[in-house]
Amino acid sequence: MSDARRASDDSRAKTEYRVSREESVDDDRLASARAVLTDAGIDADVSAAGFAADVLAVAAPVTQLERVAALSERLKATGFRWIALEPPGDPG
Amino acid sequence: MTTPDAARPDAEARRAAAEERLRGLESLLDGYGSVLIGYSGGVDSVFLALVACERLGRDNVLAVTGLSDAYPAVQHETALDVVRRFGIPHLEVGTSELADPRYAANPSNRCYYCKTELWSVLGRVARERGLAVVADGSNADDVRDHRPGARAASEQGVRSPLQEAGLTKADIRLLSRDLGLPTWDQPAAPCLASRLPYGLAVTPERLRAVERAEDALRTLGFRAFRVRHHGDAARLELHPLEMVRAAERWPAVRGAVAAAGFRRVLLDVDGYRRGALNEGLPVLERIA
Repeated sequence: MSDARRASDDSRAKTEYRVSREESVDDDRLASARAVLTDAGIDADVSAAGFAADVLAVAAPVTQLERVAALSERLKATGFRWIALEPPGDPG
Repeated sequence: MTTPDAARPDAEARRAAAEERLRGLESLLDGYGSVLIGYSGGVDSVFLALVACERLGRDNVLAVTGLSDAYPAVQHETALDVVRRFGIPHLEVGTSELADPRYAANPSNRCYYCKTELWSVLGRVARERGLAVVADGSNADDVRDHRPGARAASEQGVRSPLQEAGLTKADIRLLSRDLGLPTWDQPAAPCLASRLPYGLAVTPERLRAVERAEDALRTLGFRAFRVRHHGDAARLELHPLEMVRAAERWPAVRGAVAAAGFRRVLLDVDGYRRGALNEGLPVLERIA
Protein backbone atom coordinates (compact mmCIF):
# COMPACT_ATOMS: atom_id res chain seq x y z
CA MET A 1 0.00 0.00 0.00
CA SER A 2 1.35 3.46 -0.87
CA ASP A 3 2.06 6.02 1.85
CA ALA A 4 -0.59 8.33 0.40
CA ARG A 5 -3.23 5.59 0.39
CA ARG A 6 -2.32 4.57 3.93
CA ALA A 7 -2.57 8.16 5.11
CA SER A 8 -5.98 8.48 3.48
CA ASP A 9 -7.21 5.30 5.14
CA ASP A 10 -5.87 6.44 8.49
CA SER A 11 -7.66 9.75 8.07
CA ARG A 12 -10.93 8.00 7.31
CA ALA A 13 -10.55 5.73 10.29
CA LYS A 14 -10.25 8.76 12.57
CA THR A 15 -13.00 10.75 10.90
CA GLU A 16 -16.28 11.19 12.70
CA TYR A 17 -18.99 12.61 10.51
CA ARG A 18 -21.95 14.40 11.87
CA VAL A 19 -25.11 15.75 10.30
CA SER A 20 -26.51 19.07 11.35
CA ARG A 21 -29.22 18.65 13.95
CA GLU A 22 -31.55 20.63 11.69
CA GLU A 23 -31.37 18.14 8.85
CA SER A 24 -32.78 14.69 8.47
CA VAL A 25 -30.20 11.95 8.58
CA ASP A 26 -32.34 10.24 5.93
CA ASP A 27 -31.25 12.74 3.29
CA ASP A 28 -29.39 10.51 0.84
CA ARG A 29 -27.67 13.51 -0.65
CA LEU A 30 -25.98 14.30 2.64
CA ALA A 31 -24.80 10.75 3.04
CA SER A 32 -23.36 10.81 -0.48
CA ALA A 33 -21.70 14.18 0.11
CA ARG A 34 -20.22 12.89 3.34
CA ALA A 35 -18.78 9.93 1.45
CA VAL A 36 -17.09 12.26 -1.05
CA LEU A 37 -15.56 14.24 1.79
CA THR A 38 -14.57 11.08 3.62
CA ASP A 39 -12.72 9.85 0.56
CA ALA A 40 -10.73 13.07 0.57
CA GLY A 41 -10.01 12.79 4.28
CA ILE A 42 -11.98 15.88 5.23
CA ASP A 43 -13.60 15.87 8.64
CA ALA A 44 -16.62 18.17 8.70
CA ASP A 45 -20.31 18.42 9.52
CA VAL A 46 -22.53 18.71 6.46
CA SER A 47 -26.03 20.10 6.16
CA ALA A 48 -28.47 21.27 3.54
CA ALA A 49 -28.96 25.03 3.68
CA GLY A 50 -31.28 27.53 2.08
CA PHE A 51 -35.02 27.71 1.58
CA ALA A 52 -34.85 24.98 -1.05
CA ALA A 53 -32.20 22.94 0.80
CA ASP A 54 -30.10 23.05 -2.35
CA VAL A 55 -26.90 24.43 -0.82
CA LEU A 56 -24.49 21.93 0.69
CA ALA A 57 -22.95 23.59 3.74
CA VAL A 58 -19.67 22.05 4.82
CA ALA A 59 -18.82 23.11 8.36
CA ALA A 60 -15.08 23.33 7.98
CA PRO A 61 -12.53 26.05 8.72
CA VAL A 62 -11.55 28.42 5.93
CA THR A 63 -8.20 26.65 5.70
CA GLN A 64 -10.14 23.82 4.00
CA LEU A 65 -11.47 26.10 1.25
CA GLU A 66 -9.19 24.88 -1.55
CA ARG A 67 -9.63 21.23 -0.67
CA VAL A 68 -13.41 21.46 -0.65
CA ALA A 69 -13.38 23.57 -3.83
CA ALA A 70 -11.46 20.81 -5.56
CA LEU A 71 -14.35 18.46 -4.76
CA SER A 72 -17.05 20.87 -5.93
CA GLU A 73 -18.20 19.00 -9.02
CA ARG A 74 -18.28 15.65 -7.22
CA LEU A 75 -20.26 17.19 -4.37
CA LYS A 76 -22.74 18.80 -6.78
CA ALA A 77 -23.23 15.41 -8.38
CA THR A 78 -24.71 14.23 -5.08
CA GLY A 79 -27.69 16.51 -5.68
CA PHE A 80 -26.80 20.03 -4.56
CA ARG A 81 -26.72 23.12 -6.78
CA TRP A 82 -24.18 25.01 -4.74
CA ILE A 83 -21.32 24.00 -2.46
CA ALA A 84 -20.28 26.28 0.37
CA LEU A 85 -18.16 26.32 3.47
CA GLU A 86 -19.78 27.30 6.73
CA PRO A 87 -16.72 28.16 8.75
CA PRO A 88 -17.16 28.53 12.49
CA GLY A 89 -16.82 31.94 14.04
CA ASP A 90 -18.52 34.34 16.36
CA PRO A 91 -20.82 36.54 14.28
CA GLY A 92 -20.63 39.05 17.12
CA MET B 1 5.10 33.87 -23.05
CA THR B 2 3.61 36.92 -24.75
CA THR B 3 5.85 39.98 -24.71
CA PRO B 4 4.38 43.49 -24.53
CA ASP B 5 5.61 44.15 -28.09
CA ALA B 6 3.94 41.01 -29.39
CA ALA B 7 0.68 41.89 -27.62
CA ARG B 8 0.55 45.41 -29.05
CA PRO B 9 -0.81 44.49 -32.51
CA ASP B 10 -3.61 42.55 -30.85
CA ALA B 11 -4.51 45.52 -28.66
CA GLU B 12 -4.43 47.83 -31.66
CA ALA B 13 -6.62 45.47 -33.65
CA ARG B 14 -9.12 45.31 -30.77
CA ARG B 15 -9.21 49.09 -30.54
CA ALA B 16 -9.68 49.47 -34.30
CA ALA B 17 -12.55 46.96 -34.23
CA ALA B 18 -14.19 48.73 -31.30
CA GLU B 19 -13.90 52.10 -33.02
CA GLU B 20 -15.42 50.65 -36.18
CA ARG B 21 -18.38 49.38 -34.17
CA LEU B 22 -18.63 52.79 -32.48
CA ARG B 23 -19.10 54.34 -35.90
CA GLY B 24 -21.91 51.86 -36.48
CA LEU B 25 -23.51 52.97 -33.22
CA GLU B 26 -23.24 56.63 -34.18
CA SER B 27 -24.89 55.88 -37.49
CA LEU B 28 -27.78 54.13 -35.73
CA LEU B 29 -28.24 57.04 -33.33
CA ASP B 30 -28.23 59.51 -36.23
CA GLY B 31 -31.16 57.60 -37.64
CA TYR B 32 -33.10 57.90 -34.35
CA GLY B 33 -33.11 61.70 -34.27
CA SER B 34 -34.08 61.66 -30.60
CA VAL B 35 -33.93 58.98 -27.94
CA LEU B 36 -34.98 58.06 -24.42
CA ILE B 37 -32.44 55.76 -22.79
CA GLY B 38 -33.20 53.39 -19.94
CA TYR B 39 -30.43 54.51 -17.65
CA SER B 40 -29.27 52.42 -14.68
CA GLY B 41 -25.87 54.03 -14.17
CA GLY B 42 -24.14 50.85 -15.30
CA VAL B 43 -21.25 50.67 -17.76
CA ASP B 44 -23.44 50.20 -20.83
CA SER B 45 -26.23 52.74 -20.29
CA VAL B 46 -23.76 55.41 -19.17
CA PHE B 47 -21.72 54.92 -22.33
CA LEU B 48 -24.81 54.94 -24.54
CA ALA B 49 -26.18 58.08 -22.91
CA LEU B 50 -22.95 60.01 -23.40
CA VAL B 51 -22.46 58.93 -27.02
CA ALA B 52 -26.11 59.80 -27.73
CA CYS B 53 -25.66 63.26 -26.19
CA GLU B 54 -22.55 63.91 -28.27
CA ARG B 55 -24.20 62.65 -31.45
CA LEU B 56 -27.74 64.03 -31.16
CA GLY B 57 -27.29 66.99 -28.85
CA ARG B 58 -28.54 67.12 -25.28
CA ASP B 59 -31.95 68.48 -26.28
CA ASN B 60 -32.68 65.23 -28.08
CA VAL B 61 -31.66 62.81 -25.37
CA LEU B 62 -33.24 61.88 -22.05
CA ALA B 63 -31.74 59.30 -19.70
CA VAL B 64 -34.42 57.84 -17.44
CA THR B 65 -33.85 55.81 -14.29
CA GLY B 66 -36.56 53.55 -12.91
CA LEU B 67 -36.50 53.60 -9.11
CA SER B 68 -37.71 50.67 -7.03
CA ASP B 69 -36.67 48.61 -4.01
CA ALA B 70 -34.67 46.33 -6.31
CA TYR B 71 -32.45 49.16 -7.57
CA PRO B 72 -29.19 49.26 -5.57
CA ALA B 73 -28.51 52.59 -3.82
CA VAL B 74 -24.82 52.35 -4.72
CA GLN B 75 -25.77 52.18 -8.40
CA HIS B 76 -28.12 55.13 -7.97
CA GLU B 77 -25.26 57.22 -6.58
CA THR B 78 -23.09 56.37 -9.60
CA ALA B 79 -25.93 57.18 -11.98
CA LEU B 80 -26.45 60.61 -10.44
CA ASP B 81 -22.72 61.34 -10.28
CA VAL B 82 -22.29 60.67 -14.01
CA VAL B 83 -25.26 62.75 -15.17
CA ARG B 84 -24.02 65.68 -13.06
CA ARG B 85 -20.44 65.44 -14.29
CA PHE B 86 -21.27 64.98 -17.96
CA GLY B 87 -24.42 67.10 -18.21
CA ILE B 88 -26.68 64.29 -19.35
CA PRO B 89 -30.41 65.20 -19.24
CA HIS B 90 -31.90 62.90 -16.64
CA LEU B 91 -35.25 61.95 -15.14
CA GLU B 92 -36.22 59.54 -12.38
CA VAL B 93 -39.50 57.67 -12.35
CA GLY B 94 -40.94 55.19 -9.87
CA THR B 95 -41.68 51.65 -11.00
CA SER B 96 -43.83 49.18 -9.11
CA GLU B 97 -42.77 45.72 -10.24
CA LEU B 98 -42.96 44.45 -6.63
CA ALA B 99 -46.70 45.06 -6.71
CA ASP B 100 -47.01 42.51 -9.52
CA PRO B 101 -47.48 39.07 -7.92
CA ARG B 102 -46.06 37.41 -11.02
CA TYR B 103 -42.79 39.26 -10.41
CA ALA B 104 -42.83 38.89 -6.62
CA ALA B 105 -43.21 35.10 -6.90
CA ASN B 106 -39.72 35.15 -8.48
CA PRO B 107 -40.10 32.76 -11.38
CA SER B 108 -37.14 32.20 -13.72
CA ASN B 109 -38.64 34.76 -16.12
CA ARG B 110 -38.99 37.35 -13.32
CA CYS B 111 -37.08 39.91 -15.38
CA TYR B 112 -39.78 39.76 -18.03
CA TYR B 113 -42.35 41.21 -15.62
CA CYS B 114 -39.92 43.80 -14.27
CA LYS B 115 -38.93 45.01 -17.72
CA THR B 116 -42.53 44.98 -18.92
CA GLU B 117 -43.31 47.46 -16.12
CA LEU B 118 -40.15 49.51 -16.74
CA TRP B 119 -40.56 49.86 -20.50
CA SER B 120 -44.25 50.56 -20.14
CA VAL B 121 -43.48 53.52 -17.88
CA LEU B 122 -40.55 54.72 -20.00
CA GLY B 123 -42.53 54.36 -23.23
CA ARG B 124 -45.17 56.66 -21.78
CA VAL B 125 -42.52 59.24 -20.88
CA ALA B 126 -41.06 59.05 -24.41
CA ARG B 127 -44.47 59.67 -25.96
CA GLU B 128 -45.16 62.61 -23.62
CA ARG B 129 -41.78 64.18 -24.44
CA GLY B 130 -41.92 63.49 -28.17
CA LEU B 131 -38.82 61.30 -28.17
CA ALA B 132 -38.75 59.07 -31.24
CA VAL B 133 -37.02 55.98 -29.90
CA VAL B 134 -36.71 54.15 -26.58
CA ALA B 135 -33.37 52.35 -26.18
CA ASP B 136 -31.71 50.11 -23.64
CA GLY B 137 -28.06 49.37 -22.89
CA SER B 138 -27.96 45.70 -23.88
CA ASN B 139 -24.67 44.82 -25.56
CA ALA B 140 -23.57 42.12 -27.98
CA ASP B 141 -22.47 39.79 -25.17
CA ASP B 142 -25.90 39.81 -23.56
CA VAL B 143 -27.43 37.56 -26.20
CA ARG B 144 -25.49 34.66 -24.67
CA ASP B 145 -27.05 34.97 -21.21
CA HIS B 146 -30.49 34.13 -19.80
CA ARG B 147 -32.34 37.41 -20.37
CA PRO B 148 -36.12 37.14 -20.36
CA GLY B 149 -36.16 40.93 -19.92
CA ALA B 150 -35.00 41.24 -23.51
CA ARG B 151 -38.30 39.76 -24.67
CA ALA B 152 -40.24 42.44 -22.79
CA ALA B 153 -38.09 45.11 -24.40
CA SER B 154 -38.63 43.64 -27.84
CA GLU B 155 -42.40 43.44 -27.32
CA GLN B 156 -42.49 47.14 -26.53
CA GLY B 157 -40.34 48.16 -29.46
CA VAL B 158 -37.28 49.05 -27.39
CA ARG B 159 -34.11 49.24 -29.46
CA SER B 160 -30.72 47.95 -28.36
CA PRO B 161 -28.26 50.05 -30.36
CA LEU B 162 -25.11 48.78 -28.60
CA GLN B 163 -26.11 45.24 -29.45
CA GLU B 164 -27.18 46.13 -32.97
CA ALA B 165 -23.80 47.77 -33.57
CA GLY B 166 -22.05 44.63 -32.29
CA LEU B 167 -20.40 46.40 -29.35
CA THR B 168 -19.21 43.94 -26.71
CA LYS B 169 -18.68 44.65 -23.03
CA ALA B 170 -14.92 44.77 -23.66
CA ASP B 171 -15.45 47.32 -26.47
CA ILE B 172 -17.64 49.46 -24.22
CA ARG B 173 -15.13 49.41 -21.36
CA LEU B 174 -12.31 50.37 -23.74
CA LEU B 175 -14.27 53.22 -25.34
CA SER B 176 -15.61 54.38 -21.96
CA ARG B 177 -12.06 54.75 -20.72
CA ASP B 178 -11.22 56.84 -23.79
CA LEU B 179 -14.19 59.09 -22.98
CA GLY B 180 -13.06 59.50 -19.38
CA LEU B 181 -16.12 57.78 -17.97
CA PRO B 182 -15.63 56.64 -14.36
CA THR B 183 -17.72 53.56 -15.07
CA TRP B 184 -15.22 52.02 -17.52
CA ASP B 185 -14.01 49.45 -14.99
CA GLN B 186 -17.14 49.30 -12.84
CA PRO B 187 -18.24 45.76 -11.96
CA ALA B 188 -21.60 44.65 -13.31
CA ALA B 189 -24.38 45.65 -10.89
CA PRO B 190 -27.67 43.98 -11.74
CA CYS B 191 -30.78 44.58 -9.65
CA LEU B 192 -30.92 43.25 -6.09
CA ALA B 193 -33.62 40.70 -6.98
CA SER B 194 -30.96 38.85 -8.97
CA ARG B 195 -29.48 37.77 -5.61
CA LEU B 196 -32.56 35.70 -4.77
CA PRO B 197 -32.78 32.17 -6.20
CA TYR B 198 -35.82 31.60 -8.37
CA GLY B 199 -38.77 30.55 -6.26
CA LEU B 200 -37.84 32.61 -3.19
CA ALA B 201 -40.36 35.45 -3.10
CA VAL B 202 -39.01 38.93 -3.72
CA THR B 203 -39.86 41.18 -0.78
CA PRO B 204 -38.59 44.62 0.24
CA GLU B 205 -37.15 43.10 3.44
CA ARG B 206 -35.07 40.52 1.56
CA LEU B 207 -33.82 43.11 -0.89
CA ARG B 208 -32.78 45.36 2.00
CA ALA B 209 -30.96 42.47 3.72
CA VAL B 210 -28.96 41.82 0.54
CA GLU B 211 -28.17 45.50 0.14
CA ARG B 212 -27.06 45.86 3.78
CA ALA B 213 -24.81 42.81 3.50
CA GLU B 214 -23.25 43.96 0.24
CA ASP B 215 -22.72 47.47 1.59
CA ALA B 216 -20.98 45.94 4.61
CA LEU B 217 -18.68 43.88 2.39
CA ARG B 218 -17.83 46.95 0.32
CA THR B 219 -16.97 48.75 3.56
CA LEU B 220 -14.58 45.89 4.33
CA GLY B 221 -12.88 46.52 0.97
CA PHE B 222 -14.41 43.81 -1.20
CA ARG B 223 -15.35 44.70 -4.76
CA ALA B 224 -16.23 41.72 -6.98
CA PHE B 225 -18.84 39.65 -5.16
CA ARG B 226 -22.49 38.81 -4.70
CA VAL B 227 -24.50 38.04 -1.58
CA ARG B 228 -27.04 35.39 -2.54
CA HIS B 229 -30.14 35.27 -0.35
CA HIS B 230 -31.28 31.74 0.49
CA GLY B 231 -33.80 32.52 3.22
CA ASP B 232 -32.04 32.36 6.57
CA ALA B 233 -28.69 31.77 4.86
CA ALA B 234 -26.48 34.14 2.89
CA ARG B 235 -24.20 32.49 0.35
CA LEU B 236 -21.24 34.68 -0.51
CA GLU B 237 -19.80 34.46 -3.99
CA LEU B 238 -16.47 36.26 -4.12
CA HIS B 239 -13.94 36.71 -6.92
CA PRO B 240 -11.17 34.11 -6.43
CA LEU B 241 -8.67 36.82 -5.50
CA GLU B 242 -11.04 38.16 -2.86
CA MET B 243 -11.85 34.71 -1.47
CA VAL B 244 -8.37 34.51 0.02
CA ARG B 245 -8.89 37.81 1.79
CA ALA B 246 -12.34 36.77 2.98
CA ALA B 247 -10.84 33.60 4.41
CA GLU B 248 -8.20 35.61 6.25
CA ARG B 249 -10.82 37.96 7.71
CA TRP B 250 -13.64 35.48 8.12
CA PRO B 251 -14.88 36.54 11.59
CA ALA B 252 -15.30 40.14 10.36
CA VAL B 253 -16.91 39.05 7.10
CA ARG B 254 -19.26 36.66 8.86
CA GLY B 255 -20.19 39.20 11.48
CA ALA B 256 -20.93 41.92 8.92
CA VAL B 257 -23.18 39.70 6.83
CA ALA B 258 -24.94 38.15 9.83
CA ALA B 259 -25.73 41.64 11.11
CA ALA B 260 -27.58 42.32 7.88
CA GLY B 261 -30.14 39.71 8.89
CA PHE B 262 -28.79 36.25 8.11
CA ARG B 263 -28.60 33.43 10.61
CA ARG B 264 -26.15 31.41 8.51
CA VAL B 265 -23.27 32.80 6.46
CA LEU B 266 -21.81 30.51 3.80
CA LEU B 267 -18.77 30.94 1.56
CA ASP B 268 -19.36 29.51 -1.91
CA VAL B 269 -16.31 27.43 -2.84
CA ASP B 270 -16.65 28.17 -6.57
CA GLY B 271 -16.54 31.92 -6.13
CA TYR B 272 -18.31 34.70 -8.00
CA ARG B 273 -19.55 34.07 -11.49
CA ARG B 274 -22.06 36.10 -13.44
CA GLY B 275 -25.49 34.51 -13.77
CA ALA B 276 -24.78 31.87 -11.12
CA LEU B 277 -28.45 31.62 -10.21
CA ASN B 278 -29.18 30.52 -13.77
CA GLU B 279 -27.01 27.46 -13.23
CA GLY B 280 -29.22 24.41 -13.17
CA LEU B 281 -31.95 25.97 -15.28
CA PRO B 282 -32.90 23.81 -18.25
CA VAL B 283 -31.06 24.99 -21.38
CA LEU B 284 -34.26 25.86 -23.23
CA GLU B 285 -35.43 27.96 -20.31
CA ARG B 286 -32.10 29.80 -20.20
CA ILE B 287 -32.33 30.93 -23.79
CA ALA B 288 -36.07 31.66 -23.80
